[in-house]
Formats: sequence, C-alpha cells, structure tokens
Amino acid sequence: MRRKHWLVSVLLIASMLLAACGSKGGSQTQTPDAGTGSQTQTPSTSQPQQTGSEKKTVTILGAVVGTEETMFNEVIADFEAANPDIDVVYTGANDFATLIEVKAQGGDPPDIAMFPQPGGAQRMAELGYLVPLWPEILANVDQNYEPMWKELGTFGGTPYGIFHRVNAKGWIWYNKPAFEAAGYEVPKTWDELMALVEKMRGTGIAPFCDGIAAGDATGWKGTDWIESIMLRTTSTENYDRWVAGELKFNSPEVKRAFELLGDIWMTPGNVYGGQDSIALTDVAEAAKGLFTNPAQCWLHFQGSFVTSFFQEDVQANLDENVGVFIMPPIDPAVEPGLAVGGDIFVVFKGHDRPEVKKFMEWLTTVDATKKWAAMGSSLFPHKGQDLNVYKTELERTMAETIINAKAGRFDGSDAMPAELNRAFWVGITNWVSGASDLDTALQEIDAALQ
Amino acid sequence: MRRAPEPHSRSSLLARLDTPLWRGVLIAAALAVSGAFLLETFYFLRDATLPQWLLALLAIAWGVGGVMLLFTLASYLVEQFPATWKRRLIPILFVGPAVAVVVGYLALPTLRTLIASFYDANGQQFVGLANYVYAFSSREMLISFRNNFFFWLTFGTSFSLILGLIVAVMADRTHPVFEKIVKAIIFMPMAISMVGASVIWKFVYEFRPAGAPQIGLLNALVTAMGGDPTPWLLRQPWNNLFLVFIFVWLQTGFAMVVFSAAIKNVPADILEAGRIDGANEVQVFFHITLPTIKGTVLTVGTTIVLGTLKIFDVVQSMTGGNYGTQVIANVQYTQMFRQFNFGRASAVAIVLLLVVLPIMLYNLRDFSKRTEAF
Repeated sequence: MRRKHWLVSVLLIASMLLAACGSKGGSQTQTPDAGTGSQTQTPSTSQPQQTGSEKKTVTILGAVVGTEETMFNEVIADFEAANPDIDVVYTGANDFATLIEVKAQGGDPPDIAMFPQPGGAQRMAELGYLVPLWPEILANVDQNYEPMWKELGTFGGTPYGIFHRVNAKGWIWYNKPAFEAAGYEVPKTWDELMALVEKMRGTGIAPFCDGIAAGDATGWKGTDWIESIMLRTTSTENYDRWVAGELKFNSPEVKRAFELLGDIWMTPGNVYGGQDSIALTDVAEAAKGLFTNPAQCWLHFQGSFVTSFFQEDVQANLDENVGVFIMPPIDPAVEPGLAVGGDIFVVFKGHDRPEVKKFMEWLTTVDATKKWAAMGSSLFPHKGQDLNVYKTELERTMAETIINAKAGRFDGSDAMPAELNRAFWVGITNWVSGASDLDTALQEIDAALQ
Repeated sequence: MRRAPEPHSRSSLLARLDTPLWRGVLIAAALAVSGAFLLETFYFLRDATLPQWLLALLAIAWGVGGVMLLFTLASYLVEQFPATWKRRLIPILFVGPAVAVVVGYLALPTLRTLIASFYDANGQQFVGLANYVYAFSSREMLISFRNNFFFWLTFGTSFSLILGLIVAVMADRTHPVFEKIVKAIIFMPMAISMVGASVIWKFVYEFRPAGAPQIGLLNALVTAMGGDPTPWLLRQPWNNLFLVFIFVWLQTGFAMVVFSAAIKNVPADILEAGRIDGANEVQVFFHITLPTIKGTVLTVGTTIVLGTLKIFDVVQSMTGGNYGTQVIANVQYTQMFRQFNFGRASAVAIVLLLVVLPIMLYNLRDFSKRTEAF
C-alpha cells in the first residue's frame, strides 16, 4: 500500500513539473536576438534594461579614478544638464586594462571605453570590437583638432578614437622662486641645459630629482626620457620605425638617446640620492624634491600631469611656485616633436545608440573642455579654446603648446608591441639599477621581439 | 458481482506497473523532467527582474532544493536495479558529483591551459613550442628559475624548517607559560597575509638617500651606527634573500606549531631509556626525537617547498619582479594580466605545474604510506 502511494505521488510531481515547464518554454524564445540584433534598430529593442524609466543610459569605463574621476563626473554633469533625458554613468577602475579585456571578451563591454594607452584601443580595433567614427563626429574632429589628433586615433587606416583631455610629456619643471633667486635662465639648447646642470651641481643641491619605481610598471618614467630625447635627436620616421619595432634598440640612434640620458642620470652628483635612488624612488615621490625644505634638487623631468604630485601648498599657488620649460632641442637639424598622451574614447560594436553618439560628439566640442579646464590640471587640444578658462599661466603655456603642435607622437613605449614595451621598462630599470650594462640592456630589449 | 471487478482491475493495473522496470522508467522520466524544470527555472531566475534579496533567496532554494531533488530521484532510481548493479552504481552516485566538479573546475581548465600554451598571445594562431622556448630561454624566466630553485626553495624551506624546529625544541624545555608566550609570538605572523607582511617589510627595507631622514628600520639602524644607507631591495643577488626572509618570518610559526605537537608525542620512555643509556641531549635529539618526527618534518617540508615554488605575493608587492627578483608565478601573472599574452602565460603556468607536480605526488604518496588515505 505504501509503495503504491509513493508511486502515485511521483507521477503527480512529474506531471506538475511537466506542466510548469510547458508554460515557461514559450516565453523564453524572444530574448536571444537582443545581443545579435543590428544596431540600427530603435533604441527600445537594443536596450531592454531601460524599460520602466525614460532616461537613456550611457556607460563609460575608464582608468581615471580618485579626484580626477570626481572632475570627470562634473564634466558629465554639464552634458546631462544640456541633455536631461540622458544619464551618463562613468566607472573608474584601477585595473581598467584587465577589466576591459575581460568584459570585451565576455560580451559585456561598456558603451564607451577610455583607453589610457593606444595599444589597448588598437587591440580592440583589430579584434573587431569597435565602431569606426561616423561622419558627424569626423566633421567635428576635422574642424576642432589639428590633423595629428585624428591620426593618433586611427588604427589600421580607420579612425576609431577621439581625444578629450590630453597631456604632453617632455617638460622640465623647476622651483620658480629658487630658480629666479639663483639667477638661472631657461636653457634654449641642450648644451645650455648641460651647462646649467653643471653650474647647479656646484651648489650642493642636486640638479635633478628622479624616480622610476611604479610596482610592476617600474621603468615607464625612464622610457619617457628616451622618447623625448629621440624626438629631438632623430627623424620622426626613425621614431615611428623604432616604435614599430623595426629600428632596433642597439642601433646607433637609440643607443645615443640612452647615452644622453646616461649623462644626466649617471654623472655623480647629478641626481638626488644617486643612481640607486632613481630605481627605488616612486615616480610621484620624486617630484616633491623640488619643494622640500631644504630642497633636494633644482629640476625635475615629467609630463604635464606632474602638478598633482606636488605638495598641497605648492599646488595651491602653482603660478608663483612652479616654472616649466620644454626639453630644449638637441640636434639643430631635427625639428622637435611633442610627445603626447591622453585617454582615447572609443565606442563598442552594437553600442552606437543615438545617446552614445551624442555624448561622443559633444566631447569633441570646445564646450566640453571648459568645465574641466577651469577646474585645473587638465589640458585640451581643441582649437578655438578660450585660454583664459585655465586657472594658471602654467597651464595656459602648456595648452598653447599642445593646441599649436603640428607634429606629435604618442608616448612611444605605450604604442610599442606589448612585449617590447615591457622589455623597455625592464631594460631601462636593469640599466639604471646596475643589473645590466647599456649594451646588454639594449640587446635584452631587442630580444623581446624575437 | 458488479462491483468486484473494478477495484480489482485498478489495482492490477498499478500492480502491473509496480515492477522494478516500470518504476525505473518512471523515475528516470521524473529525473529528466526535473532536470529540464531546473534548467528552465535557472533561465527564468537569470532573466527575472526581482529585488536582489528575493532573487538571492530563490537562487538558494533553487540550488539546495534542486540538488536534493535530483539526488533523491537518482537514489530511488538506483534502488530499482538488481543488487549487483546497485552495489556498483551507489558509489558512482555519491562520488560522481565531486568527480564532475573536479573535472569541470580543475581538469578541463588544465587541459585548456595546455592547449592555449601552443597558441599565440590572442589564442588564435598555433605557434607550436614558441611559448615554451620563451619559458625556458628568456632571461626573465632563467632568472625566475634561479630565484625559485636556489633562493626560495633552498633558503626559504631550510630556514623555515630549521628555525621552526629549533624554537619547537627549545620552547618544549622551558616553563609552560614562557613556552606559550614564545610560541604565540612566533606563530603570530601566520595571521598576516603575504601582502600585509610585504607592507610591513617595505618599511623595514625602505631606502632614503644619505642625509635624508631614514624611515626604514634597517637603514635607520645602519645610519645610527654611522654607516651609509643601503638600498636593500636593489643589491643583487642579496635582495632575493631579503625577500625570502619575509617568507621565512611567515612560515616559521607554521613549522614550529606542527613540530611542537610532534615533539610532545615522542614517547617519554624511549627518551628516558636513551638518557639512562648515557646519551647526551644532542644525541637524544638526533637519534630519537628527529627520527620519530621524521614524517612530520617531511610533510611540513614539502608543504613549504610547494609554497616557495608558487611564491608570488611577496615578490609582486615588494619589487614587482624588478631588480633581478623575478619568480615563475609573477611571470605568469605579468604575462596574463599585464601583457595579455595568453599563450606565454599558459606555457609558464604549465611549467609551474610540472615543477610542482612531483613534489605534490611525493607528498601524497608519503601521506598515504602513513595513513593509507590514498
């Protein structure tokens, strides 16, 4: 009897389950085409999650975090105020490079990504994850930027990326009151710079502060030095070949750049704390030496973003405290190029909805630069900017240099093949930490591409 | 006359169905249906727009209930088989899910890694053994092999074991209260993560140029005694030993606690017999205590050896693998998550697996000899 009872109940459960399945099966078939559907459809079908609210959402993933993230969110707020129906959500991630790979490969990318290095964006473009720039935004780019910026966002002949906030490298910073009190003058040539360095060595304060330590990215600061020197000692064609991995590191051109840097780094008394200190000191920490009491050094080489590394009281009054000049030309025959960088904004395939395009187009306009420029420590390449928006003379000088730059090259190491970039970091670290002599270090960097 | 056949025929229908075969078929059908049902509810829950907490509760109910349902039905199903088959099938029913999990989460990824190690950075082009050429000939990897095998394995393991053993033996001979305090202090670093320990030791090894205030403990001591500050993490190859020391600091406590327990289990009468026979304390230790706890020493030793071969956290957070302190696991991490070179990362992972495997097997074999667990 018990057994029969049990059998009946099993049958009963089974039939109930069958019934439950039957009714579910139908509703399931609609969803799959959402992911593969063409992008030209109306927004309501391509973005199912917006049901219930009228606001359209644009998602952005980038590597900008901390105070810069707060500033970028204010820029976004400017856009949202003009477009109340669009909600732009920015997410900043320290591990952006890892995260964007995972998300893109997992089929879950944001609408827009801000690549801090061109290599990542180029990789995404080559893998076919990105949408090429559309005619409206191309018109904006042609009108508001020097052609070099469009070239810099072009991968494999197709323009994919646009620039908003940018930076330039190759600046040499100094403590303005101390520099002027000592009666020094901004050097116009490399020889003048070397003469100035020698004079400074005699003061008992080191000419330079420097540090290249940055966790497993240790060495990048050194690559910046080499790039700026290369842009002043050899042709841009050679620079491009070098970045592409065609001009070897142990070629005379590249070796010469290392030797010129060696003159600065390895001459005893030239750098605060000496060679050991360069390898071990944190990139951001080194910049502070200009303004310590007593001062550790006279000069510091760094990109335009260095001001955020300075002490807070220095930042409070940059114009009075800080002076800057661009690395002087080295070879008279070589027209110096500007080493630039900046987040490249790209749109992922299937995400080029009208609101996403609208935000991208807005970023290419002068209007999108005002808020951030006024907040400080940010420069923009947009033509027709009102330079008075910038808070400091310092920024005005740099912005002007950037807007007017006719020739520019990306941070070379960032644009190199990934293996070569890393080998460059490691090689320059080995060289300065004394683990390899110059020839060995250069050969080891070259070995990365074999 | 009229009423009698009806109950008879109904019960006979059920009776005819109530054979092991039919019951088996029905239960198998129920099993298939519940599987399909669970799959459908999975999709339903995945796409449902419910409050997070409700979804979480439903998901737990789905998971736990689903496993119970499937397992109950499966065990009913097995019950219907003849006794010989039942005996064969029941172990599979119990071990099967565990095996499936191991295969799914361990064996398949390993196989997948092996395949990826023969492909290029993006996993698209077959490149043969190129990644293994890198893994065995690049300077980075050669330095890693040297560091892992020479500095980490040799010094890391022997220092941890010897220090642990010394402390365990010495503490055993002191006053119980003192013993507890000493063991607690030495065991304490075990509670700190490798990264946490690295933060602490970064302040010990910190270097500031001569003349500047030294915030690093070691350099503060050195300069207080009139010496020049030393960049400890830069001086090759000694910097590897400075990193190994952090690991020893963490592992000695582990070795000490296990050894201490083993030493207390050495039979007192044997020790006493030895002493009566005239052995001094050193002889007692080397001829009685050590042989008795040999198995424990081997187990702890192989565990620490595995730790040294897989060492990653300390190197990553102290030097990032720079200044000649690179190790295999850090190369794997860098290639995977900084370079996105899936091929090289996979090849290095396989190399690391091959390095670790013999020690793991030895550990298991040694363990099974003593406990017959394997």
